[in-house]
Amino acid sequence: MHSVVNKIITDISRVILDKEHEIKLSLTCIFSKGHLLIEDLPGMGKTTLSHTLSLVLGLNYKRVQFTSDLLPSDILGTNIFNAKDHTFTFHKGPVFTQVLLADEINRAGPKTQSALLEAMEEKQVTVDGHKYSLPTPFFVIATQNPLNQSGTFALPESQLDRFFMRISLGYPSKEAEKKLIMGTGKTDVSDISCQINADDLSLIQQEIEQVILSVPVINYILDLVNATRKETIFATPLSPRASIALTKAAKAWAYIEGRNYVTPNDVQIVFPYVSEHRLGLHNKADKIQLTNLISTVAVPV
Amino acid sequence: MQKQRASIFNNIKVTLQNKLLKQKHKKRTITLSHNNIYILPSVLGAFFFLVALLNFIMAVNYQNNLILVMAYLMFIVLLISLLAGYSNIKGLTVSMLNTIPTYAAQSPHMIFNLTTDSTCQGVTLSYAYDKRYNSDCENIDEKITELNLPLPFKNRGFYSLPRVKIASHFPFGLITAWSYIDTQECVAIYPKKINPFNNELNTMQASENTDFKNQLLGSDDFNQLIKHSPEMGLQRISWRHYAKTQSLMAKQFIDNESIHTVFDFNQMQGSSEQRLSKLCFLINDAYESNINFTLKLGVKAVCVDTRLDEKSRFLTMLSQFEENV
Amino acid sequence: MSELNNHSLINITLSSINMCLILLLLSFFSPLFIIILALLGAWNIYLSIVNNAKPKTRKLNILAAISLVVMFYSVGFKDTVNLFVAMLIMGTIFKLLQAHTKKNYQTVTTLNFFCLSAIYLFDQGIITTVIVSLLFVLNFAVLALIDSTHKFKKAFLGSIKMVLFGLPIAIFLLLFLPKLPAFWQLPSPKVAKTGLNEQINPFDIAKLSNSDELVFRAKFNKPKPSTHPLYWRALIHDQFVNNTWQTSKYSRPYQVNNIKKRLTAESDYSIIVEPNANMWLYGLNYSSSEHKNVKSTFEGTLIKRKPQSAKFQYSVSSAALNTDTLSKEQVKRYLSISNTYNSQTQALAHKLRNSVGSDAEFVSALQLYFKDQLFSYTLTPPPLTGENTIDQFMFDSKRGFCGHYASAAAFMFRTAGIPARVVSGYLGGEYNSSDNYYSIRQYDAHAWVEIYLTGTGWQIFDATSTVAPMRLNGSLSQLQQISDEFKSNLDFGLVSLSDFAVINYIRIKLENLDYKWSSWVVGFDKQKQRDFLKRLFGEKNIWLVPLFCVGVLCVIIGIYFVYLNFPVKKEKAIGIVKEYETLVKIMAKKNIISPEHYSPQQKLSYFAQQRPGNKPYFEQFNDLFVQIRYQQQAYTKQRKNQAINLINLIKNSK
Repeated sequence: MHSVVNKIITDISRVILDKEHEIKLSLTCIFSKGHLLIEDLPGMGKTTLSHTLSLVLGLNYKRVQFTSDLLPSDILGTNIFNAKDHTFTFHKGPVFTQVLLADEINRAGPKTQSALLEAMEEKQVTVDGHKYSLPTPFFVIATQNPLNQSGTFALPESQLDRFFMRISLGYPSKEAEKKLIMGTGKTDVSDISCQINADDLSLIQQEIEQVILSVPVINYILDLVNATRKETIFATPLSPRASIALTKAAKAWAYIEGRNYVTPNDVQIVFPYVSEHRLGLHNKADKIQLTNLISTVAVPV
Repeated sequence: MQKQRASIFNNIKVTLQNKLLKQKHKKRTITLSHNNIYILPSVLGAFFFLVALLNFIMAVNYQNNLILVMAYLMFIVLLISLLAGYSNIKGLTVSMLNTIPTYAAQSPHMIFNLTTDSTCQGVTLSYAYDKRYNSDCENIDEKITELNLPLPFKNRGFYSLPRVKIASHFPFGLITAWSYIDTQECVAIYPKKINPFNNELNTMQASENTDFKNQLLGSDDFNQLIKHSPEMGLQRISWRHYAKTQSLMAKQFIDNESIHTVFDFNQMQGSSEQRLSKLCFLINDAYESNINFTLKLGVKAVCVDTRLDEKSRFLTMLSQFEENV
Repeated sequence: MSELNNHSLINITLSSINMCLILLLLSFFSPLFIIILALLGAWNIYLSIVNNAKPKTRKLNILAAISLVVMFYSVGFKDTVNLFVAMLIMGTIFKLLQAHTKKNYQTVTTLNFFCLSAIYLFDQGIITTVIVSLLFVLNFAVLALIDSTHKFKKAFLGSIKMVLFGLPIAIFLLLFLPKLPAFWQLPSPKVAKTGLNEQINPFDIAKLSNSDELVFRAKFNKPKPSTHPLYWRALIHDQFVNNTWQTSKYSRPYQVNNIKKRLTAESDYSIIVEPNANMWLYGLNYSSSEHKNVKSTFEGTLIKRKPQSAKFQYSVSSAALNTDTLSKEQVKRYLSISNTYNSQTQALAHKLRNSVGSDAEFVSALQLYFKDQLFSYTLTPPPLTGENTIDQFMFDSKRGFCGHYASAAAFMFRTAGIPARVVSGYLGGEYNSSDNYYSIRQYDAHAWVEIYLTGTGWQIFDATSTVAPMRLNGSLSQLQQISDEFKSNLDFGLVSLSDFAVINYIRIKLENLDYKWSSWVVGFDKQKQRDFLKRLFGEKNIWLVPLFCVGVLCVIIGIYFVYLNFPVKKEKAIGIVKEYETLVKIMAKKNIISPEHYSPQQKLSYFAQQRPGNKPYFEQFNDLFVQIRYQQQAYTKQRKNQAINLINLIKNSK
């Protein structure tokens, strides 16, 4: 299946210019069955990225713009009284989709946020005591404005943990931006064709499970995680859930890179994206601390 | 009298130790090895030896083989303890991490990191001249163990750190294997913080405006309620107040403006210790509210930018201060 | 480590050790004193269990004063060693009761080492040794506990290790280090036990058969001596006063026979005496010994030269009883009886004497009389009271044990004008064929008569031989006739259960072990050591022994030291790791040092960057490394060779 992966990446790269690394990371996240959090300023292409991803992967896609007055039922759905036969019928909300883009998730109130996060964790929705399962696969790609922007409700750390990875696209390079302005060399989202379907995706996920994880790499992951626990600079050190996520991400990254084994380099690459939001790091200075941490942990041979 | 004698004895001991102990202990990090470990039976060990000797005499006098075996066994255990004690403590690396300065009346601490390549049991760090100040650790291995040693200083000042004794009684407490670490560093005890305004309010009825803060309207701290006027806008109205009294009042906020203030030793009240204490309070306060200031100590004067300079530097200056200088 | 961490555990262990000590000393002190000690110990354990504070010093001082008075009262001042041990143990218990700091507990523990040794003054049996050794280990465990926060099990195992390591060395020292002579005379503890008495009252000996306690063992150099009964003589009673046979001052031990004229020894053997406070020792017939602490008396009995209650071994040579003619005084002494009482018996003696022609015939006539009149042997005779007890026995009850017969017979001999004396000691013993020794126990105690016949000299007359002939051979335990009576009379013990084959088997095995223990361990004295060393080194090289001792000791300590400080070997590197580390070292020698935190792959590519000429080698090495470490492929010989080749190529390139 691996040949498809390269094709997917080139396809997306046609839309999101010059962001191959971020594209790979977002694929890593989806291949690891995790939810993705994109933190960026408005207008960086967050929405485009998520839309393109769902198109390429052949998944159906819905988008919810989060606002402060958005209610949980606006996402999950609600029971509507049918006057004809005097019954309640469940009207499914936008969450019933394979890829949900939760735009600007930190604009919504905590109630709405946690309704979504619960759906993410349990892959099902409970309304008025009835359980409704969500389609599989189910991914949430949430975007978030940087926290210091006004009118935002920060996601609590415990809920941030539900997101597998946090990435940010950042400004495009000069070349790419030039192309953007000129409108050349960029394919429109609508021109993207679907490369695989949901079955293929689960096949890829199975293959990723087979990626070899050797003892020195496991030791390295443990060393890294333990290092965050020892340092006092991190308010919330990494949990075992985080170490599992780190392992999964490293495996998926190795797969995307075309290998059937994980190396410590893979771990180093995905480590910041898996752990930053869990450690409660936001600004640049904090992120430097994490880089320093990596450089203090010796790689087991 | 007795106390005096004890102190004389102590002095002799200290001088003797200073002469005998060579440079090899004057390090921040010391790894114990054959040339810096000292080992002798402890007091208990001496008592144990005495009992073994009594057993031996009893055995010989009664020509009793079983008692003789017990006596021999005790001698051998003592001998083995010496060896085991040595190899227990050998390879232990003690390094001073830093010191924790305190405000007067509290004891400062020294923090040590201990690690060893094998294992090391029952290590005690103690202040070499006063055994009451100690800190111990049951088991040390490859992982770094942190030990916190309180120091017997209470008054403001700048003290050079004492020699610290690293000792172990393992096994059975029959022996003492020990060494010293002499870091040759200093620790500061800052003056006790005394709020100068509390004091002076009582004595001279100081005016309400403090002498170093200029208040400007701002948004940080709530100050008082003032009568609302239309140009103020609605968001500052104290609605709670309105609900109670039906009168529109507006909340007024203040900022402590960061203008340059001067903390002068000579302008403080009280004895020199009290003055230092007040300065200490002021410096702390200034750092909390980000006020730049100039510190004047006798002839010395320093300008301080609270955002750039370290607070501890100036507190240390206070602790080092001597009036005659 | 100035605070104590496991207070109650230490306290309970220490008081348990004390309780065991008390238990071991149970039979050597008066019950009152033991009860007081046990109560104090129990109180201490109780305090620990309910987590109460230790009692106040004042309260303890009062209590200690009371206990001291009780101790002086019940132990007495006469026996200094007993008093010393009693004070030591009581002091330790009181010290423990008020101990609360680390130092206190350490003192108590160290004192315990002394208390434990003191037990051996009283008893050196194998079981006692095992118990004391265990307590010894436990005591070390407490020392370790005081100094750490270890769990009890760890401390105990640690001290077992320590003791097991030290024990062989200690035994080695015991064997080889020249034994010193005693520095000065010390009194021995007096061991109060039932035993023979200098005054024979027939009732006392029935009490002896209650006890199956070992008195001594006799080891013959030659196989089993002879079939005739073994009369172990201990005391001679030559004075008959108030119906009791007493040891007169003439027969008292201090009459020493210095003349070594009886060299025609019939038998040679050695005897291991169990600890006891009595002065007398045991021997067959006319015995003499050359042991330095044994005196031979004129009468052929053996006594200790100085009081010593410890177990010890001496060799004896025995000859026939004295045949020398008696002096006038002696005849007078051996014939004296008070004529007032027991007139019936006197009449009978005269009658019997007159009916026969010679003294020798009188002997057989008396034996015959006992037989004809149906006298019987019993351990539970009817009580006889009053002044004419011999008359009552001879004419009314006609039932009794050795004491009765010996007493009556000696009385009759003296009445009939034949010099006679009662001898007490032990008869027979249990024979152990595998090691050729006899064990003589308290219930083997016996009394018999020795008479002097002109011409033949002293000879044994034992009325029991007529009444219960089986008693003469073997031990009382083997006497079928009264076996049930014997067993029911005996305090509960292994012997009383000897009907069960298994128990009997175990009993005999234990017996054997204890014998070996006492002859080899406890009895290992200067003489034995010299013999042992001579055999080992030869007569000439005996001076080598101290050197040898010191040498071996140094070697052992040296080996132990090296063992302790032997650097712990790091785990063997797996697969290509070793080669990789070599490569890093080689690069370091070439002054190419990559940042510490780099992963192996990053390091290799860093090296390649620094040494572009060797780039392909590094890349190949990297591939190998990845294959083995991350892809988990086998580290074949081929790959190994390849790795080594690459390293060599890199090493040799400029």
